[in-house]
Amino acid sequence: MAIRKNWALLAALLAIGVALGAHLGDAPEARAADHAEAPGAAADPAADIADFYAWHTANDTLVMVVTYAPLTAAGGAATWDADVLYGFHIDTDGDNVSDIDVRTRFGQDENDAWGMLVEGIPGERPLVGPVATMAEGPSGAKAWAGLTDDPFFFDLEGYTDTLATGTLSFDSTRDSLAGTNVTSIVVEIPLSSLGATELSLWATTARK
Amino acid sequence: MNTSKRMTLLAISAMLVLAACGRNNEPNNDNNTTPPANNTTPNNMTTPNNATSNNTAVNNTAVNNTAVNNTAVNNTAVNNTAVNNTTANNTTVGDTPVADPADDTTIVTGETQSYSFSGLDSEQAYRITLVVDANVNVTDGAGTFVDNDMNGAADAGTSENVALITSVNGQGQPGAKTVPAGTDDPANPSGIFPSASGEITIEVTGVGAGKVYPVLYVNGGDSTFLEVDAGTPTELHLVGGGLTVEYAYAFATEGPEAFTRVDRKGMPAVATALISSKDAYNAAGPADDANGDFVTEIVTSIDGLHNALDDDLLALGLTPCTVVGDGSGTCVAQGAPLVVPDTLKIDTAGDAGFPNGRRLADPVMDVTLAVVLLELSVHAADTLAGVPVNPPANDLEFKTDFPYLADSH
Repeated sequence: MAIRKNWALLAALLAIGVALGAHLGDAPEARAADHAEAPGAAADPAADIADFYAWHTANDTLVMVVTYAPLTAAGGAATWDADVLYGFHIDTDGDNVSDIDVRTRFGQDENDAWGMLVEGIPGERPLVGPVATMAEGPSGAKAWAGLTDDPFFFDLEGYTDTLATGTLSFDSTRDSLAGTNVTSIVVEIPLSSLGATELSLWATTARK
Repeated sequence: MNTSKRMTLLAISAMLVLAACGRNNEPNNDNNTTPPANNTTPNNMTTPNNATSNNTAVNNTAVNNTAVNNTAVNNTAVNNTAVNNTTANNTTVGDTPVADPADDTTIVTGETQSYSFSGLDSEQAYRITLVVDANVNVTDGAGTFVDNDMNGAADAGTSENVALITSVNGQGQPGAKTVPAGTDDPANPSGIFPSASGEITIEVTGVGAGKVYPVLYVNGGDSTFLEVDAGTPTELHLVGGGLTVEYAYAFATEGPEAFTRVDRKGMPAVATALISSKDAYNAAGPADDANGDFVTEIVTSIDGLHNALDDDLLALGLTPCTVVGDGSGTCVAQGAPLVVPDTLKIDTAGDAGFPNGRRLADPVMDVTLAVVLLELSVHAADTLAGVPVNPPANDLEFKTDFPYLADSH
């Protein structure tokens, strides 16, 4: 068991520095222990990015996912904010400056129902429609936004316990983010629309 | 390819400045403004000859009178340019063309507006293009057009971002900026033919905020596009009422410059773990990262981790990477390409999987930790993931199809 304990200790210590991502930012109890997220982002769940994912598929598409408003409880509601601009940025020529900006906005209709607007997909018109419903354009580009399971997995409890006690409490079978939700934006676009094969990508939020 | 090699490749590739990217992302229909080769003399150009003599009592409306003015404008242009189409006079005269509605209307995205163009020559092929309002000045059904590329054809602009023609004469269309789509032989043009009574009807569906005008014109002349001379059409044309498309939702209308950055993220955990000046980091961008603005903080953070953990790593029989105060150690050499700049890197020619992109199920934490802590010339980057240190999978299965994420709890 010594090795296992050592591994767990290692993991716990590493987690001090590395492992939590932005997830701690929005849980008061976790924030007290971690102070991980920037002061500006932690106070603003709708603009607090939890995670960013991007991958290319066998169908020659690029999928980009940003999750925000982490640690939304089971049964909770999605987080929508008309004053936040969500950006996916793609550098296609290696200079670390974005060449393609795909931007998402949310707004309400006259019945207070929320809709999304995704602009800037190359060769595609703006995608607009109600949230939690796929919008698809002529190029095959797709967009969706809504409340989902938090796709991130990590033993937050073991981390905080280890910090608090100095004694290892880490368990790799325990996913502390299990059962919690985030609000997610998913955009999938054809690789052929990018004009490049080597990409650098990042996500941003901004508030007016 | 193992992960470390892939990361090395990524690092190298990130430094490469790719050749001009040759993006093919221009909307197909933007080519509307590029005429085909001037290979023929139009032999069926419709020269308006129906100015006043054909007006019936029924047609003595303001709209028809303006249409008459419109043809006068065209004739002037034709004469001024002394082009050959003054000899083409082979049309069957119908009523004076009229668009209905001739006045502006407003719809929201997803809604449809019908247009009827009547008084047309049933033997004549016509085309209809949606033109953005910035590119046309409309006066009583006639227009002058922007021709920024000076190719002798009106520029429609990105009208496909505002509205699409979704039906022609009762037949559904996939959604087009111009009908019929594509080019053809100007000597034998295809086109939309009016009914026996000289009418074409279309339906236009709003897809985005903006304003467009439907422009009907004779498919003839040197190209299948609306030819202009200094912006004034040299072909018969008719502009319907402007169509303003609004969103059903109240989206913020300001441009990106009106928003202030709150957060940014590329690689998992970089900002959280390795950066101390987090607000400044969030406000910066990858070019700042690459410029080295935050490298000192990152080296310091990695150094701190190693001071605390190298004993444990060694006790586990693992070889830590080396940290040198000046950043010359192997930790920085192997970690920097991964975390500086703070972007996900994807080479679409390679297999997907962190750090070549980040899939939902990838064990990104254990891999990142290995890259920052372990000597990758000794240990594979998936060493920690193989233990695993963190939970190896999400609590719910991801979906195989869009939008991929598991349903909320």
